[in-house]
Amino acid sequence: MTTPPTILVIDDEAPLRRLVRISLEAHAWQVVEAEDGRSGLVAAAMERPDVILLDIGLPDLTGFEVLLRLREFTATPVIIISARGDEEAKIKLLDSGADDYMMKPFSTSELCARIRVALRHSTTAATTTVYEADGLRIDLTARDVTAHGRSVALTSTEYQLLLAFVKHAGKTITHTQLLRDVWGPGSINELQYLRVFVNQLRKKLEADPSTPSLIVTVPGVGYRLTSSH
Amino acid sequence: MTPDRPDPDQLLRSIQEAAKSGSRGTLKIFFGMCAGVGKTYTMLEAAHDAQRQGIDVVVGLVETHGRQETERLLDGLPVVPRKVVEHRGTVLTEFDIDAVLSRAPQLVLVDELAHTNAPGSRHGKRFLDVLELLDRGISVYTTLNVQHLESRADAVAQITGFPIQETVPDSVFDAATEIELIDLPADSLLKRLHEGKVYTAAAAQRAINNFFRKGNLTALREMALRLTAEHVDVQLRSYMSSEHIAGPWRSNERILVAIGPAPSSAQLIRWARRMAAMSNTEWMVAYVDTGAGHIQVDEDRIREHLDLARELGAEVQTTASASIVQGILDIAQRENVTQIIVGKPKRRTWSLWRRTLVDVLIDRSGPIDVHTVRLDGPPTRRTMQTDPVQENARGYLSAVGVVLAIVAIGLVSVQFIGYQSIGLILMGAMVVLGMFHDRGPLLLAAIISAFLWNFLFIPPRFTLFITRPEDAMMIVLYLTVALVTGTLTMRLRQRERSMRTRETRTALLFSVAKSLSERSTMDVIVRTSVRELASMLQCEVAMYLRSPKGILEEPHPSSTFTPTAKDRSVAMWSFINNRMAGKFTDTLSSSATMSLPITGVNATHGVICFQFNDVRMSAEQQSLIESAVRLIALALDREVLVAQAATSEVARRSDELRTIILNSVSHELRTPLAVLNAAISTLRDESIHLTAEQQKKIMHDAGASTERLSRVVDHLLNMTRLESGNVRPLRQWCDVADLINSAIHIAAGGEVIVHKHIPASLPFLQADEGLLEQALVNVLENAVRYSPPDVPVNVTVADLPEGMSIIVRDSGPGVSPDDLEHLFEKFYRASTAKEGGTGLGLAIAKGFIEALNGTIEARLPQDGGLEIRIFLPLPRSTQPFTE
Repeated sequence: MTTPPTILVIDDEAPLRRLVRISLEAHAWQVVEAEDGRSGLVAAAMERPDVILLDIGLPDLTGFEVLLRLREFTATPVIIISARGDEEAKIKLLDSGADDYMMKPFSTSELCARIRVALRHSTTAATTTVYEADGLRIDLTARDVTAHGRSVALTSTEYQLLLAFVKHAGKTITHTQLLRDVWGPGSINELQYLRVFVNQLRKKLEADPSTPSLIVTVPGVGYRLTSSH
Repeated sequence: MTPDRPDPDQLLRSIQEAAKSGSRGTLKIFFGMCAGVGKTYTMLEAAHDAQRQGIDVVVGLVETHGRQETERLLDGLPVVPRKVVEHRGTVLTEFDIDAVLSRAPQLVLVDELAHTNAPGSRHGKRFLDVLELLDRGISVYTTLNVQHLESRADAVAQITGFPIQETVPDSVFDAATEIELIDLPADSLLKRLHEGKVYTAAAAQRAINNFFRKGNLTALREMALRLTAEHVDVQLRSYMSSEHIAGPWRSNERILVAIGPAPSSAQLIRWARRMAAMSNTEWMVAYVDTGAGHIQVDEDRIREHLDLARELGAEVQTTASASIVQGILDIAQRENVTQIIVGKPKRRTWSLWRRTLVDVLIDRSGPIDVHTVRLDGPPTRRTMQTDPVQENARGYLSAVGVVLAIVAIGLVSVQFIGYQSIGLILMGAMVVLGMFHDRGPLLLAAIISAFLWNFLFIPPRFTLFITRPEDAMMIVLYLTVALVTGTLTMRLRQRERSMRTRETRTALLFSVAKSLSERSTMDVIVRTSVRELASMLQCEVAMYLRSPKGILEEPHPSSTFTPTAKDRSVAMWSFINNRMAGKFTDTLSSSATMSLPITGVNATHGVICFQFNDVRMSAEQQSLIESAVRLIALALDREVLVAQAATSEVARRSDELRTIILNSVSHELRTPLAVLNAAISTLRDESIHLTAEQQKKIMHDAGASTERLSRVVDHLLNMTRLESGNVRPLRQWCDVADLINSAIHIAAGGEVIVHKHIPASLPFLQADEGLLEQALVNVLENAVRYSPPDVPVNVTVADLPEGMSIIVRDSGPGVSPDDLEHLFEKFYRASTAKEGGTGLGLAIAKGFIEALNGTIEARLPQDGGLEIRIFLPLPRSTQPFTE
């Protein structure tokens, strides 16, 4: 990887774009700006960015429309930036192909962390065989899980669930996504399965299962597996 | 008339005397409907009378139109010569005012007040001459036709088709001290015309064909009569007020017209209306249902009369009473009536010895005036029918049957008990029958038994001869007893029936009133009304309410039938015109339903639509319906008023709230903004040299302010979401323990220790995770804020049979008991509140928990702090799911 990653920022608010540019360039990333949905789509096609930051409150198209059109031609990770806090909107966007979701106001350091996660997925996900984070180590080829130095025996469902988390590590995964990945499309309403197995995983993996730090609950939306730094 | 009311003649005399002593002359107008009624003639007669009384009378000007009778009357009266005026070659004679003024009589006759003077005269109009004379202290007799009165000229022109050129202002007419109406029925006038007493034969024929048509004359006559009546009335009242007599015109006159089924009652109603309009008083029409059955024609007429009365603006009162007089007087007393108007009864010869209803009414009316009005129209038969035909036939049959049975028994036993005993038995039977039957059957029974007793028993038997006077007396006695007992029974029955009617009516209305009195919402009132009306009247009822926009809504769901489009248009009409319409009324009567407006104090609340199976409706029934609808209107009025009061209360409170919001929000938004602003301007200021430490501190403050600002915005958004009713909880399985963990993480952020007491095997709860988490965060944030840093906040979760309970308890200062009940109110800040809260956190928590069908309450534990108890009676997973 010789060229620095390119981040496309689609937002109509100039000061926000400027501040984001300053922070991102400080991380040695290349920044492309677009001030509305159409120019954002053009930029996404022309510049082939590695991560797209998409504000959903755009003047011409809705963020949701932009997301759907982006997904027609690219799998580039999209991080949604939104002022809307309701869970319904979050779930809808995440289930429609958004990789992550950030609420305004946000801190730039949090934003950078999310971008890093996204970048890792877009560049290295396919080649990763060992996942490590916060005392957790998973050898994907050997199906070996170690937590805080102890080897952990997981049932096959628990392991499937953990794999689903690992696949989207660092990102918010909705209940629906998890249920579909692990139990299949017929079980997307069986939320209690998920609850039970998340609790079981936590008991086996977390240092303190009552205050989980690995598998974090995103209330009303889903879960997130803390990613390594 | 009450004794304190002065006699009008007396009054006029006093006016005349007063005028005589004053400097101004009096004006007397001889007023007629048209030429030829005899105004001039009457005026001249009056002048002779005055002359005989020693008054100095002169004739200023009198037009006799060549009528000989009139001309003869001029004899003996001094005449002031007319002035001769030449105008364009024509010689005219005019009233010579100067001559009269110099002659200075006490009274001058000036004919034709409306006359236009010849050009060049002093005044253009003769009435101006007259006014001058009056000013000079000379009294004037003059004549005037109604068509010359300014205000009536148009109307007359319209009626007759002749434009009126010469008019006299009404003020002159009003100023007249006396108006004498020369009234002549149209027919008499036409007769006079034909006889040539008014015009010459040729002119008369022309006049008859044009102006003097009977219809014209009648209309003019009515106009003249009315004007005169009004004039007297105005005079009387102005005199009374000028002399401060507090006499006859009581301040609140109320006229009551008693009506019955006679066709002439309509006339009576119209008469009363005129009287009421003239004296500007309230009036009502009363009908007393004696309980005696009426034949259908009468029932219908009564209804027509009551409708007419309503149409003419009368208040309609009906009552049930066996005695008409008592019924009228009851209403009169209840309604503070001062005058009662009744039709003058046409005496029948047989009733000469009998006191009429009017006589009784006058006797018993006490301080109330009773007016009788003579009514035209065919005399009405007393239309009292005892009973419906069927029952009557049964009555006749059974009466005759009893008589025949006794006679049959008598035939067998006559040789043992004697024929006179049989007479007595028959007499006894008559009395017994009297207890059950009315006059008719009894009379028949009496006649038959008299005949049979005579024919079969009185010797010589099988003849109608009576030899002994006792037997003859017996027969007379039969008839008397039958009549007397029959009449008594009938009266008793009537009374009983009217009592019963009144009783049922009172009972029905009472039940409606009772069920309406306690109700609290519009909807309940409507439902109750529909139910009560339907059961009370045995009919189908639909009720329309007025929408807030003032139009009629769709029929209320509780309606017992679905009105058709036609019914709806009837209801609409009734609503718009605020009058009843549809079946049994004059408007849209072909409709299948009857609509009554619910007339409230300020507005028509709606319309009630009735669907009757009956072919006709009795006055009694109608009055019952009206009373019930009035009750409903009252109930709705009450609700409207209560609602209005509540609205204004809400408005007041929302006003208060707006002020609080503005204060609170502006403080909460501005404070962090001020910090941010200060931080940024400090950093931007190049003249200030900050150490790295200082910079870090400023940045930290700015960050904290941002968080605070963001929380305020979150709270406001959540509150708005709640207020707009936009909270739709999802139902999904939630892990409450997990939620509490994440809420603690957000709320406490590791600054305050939170102790959790959560059962190991807590079932999942079916709730909205997002809402529950936000509520928990808010409650926890509150607890953390008030807890001292070293004392833990306790969170206890319990799975109870009815639901899940979450208790958050802090060790802070708590609140005062007064604050406790307001803790969950928007923008409420307890007296112990710390700086920096929005006053929304707990309100939002309450809103969200209630959206989840849960409850939240605050308590003050014995050992200090504050305890928030959340209870969620929601489904829980029965057993944990395992692989």
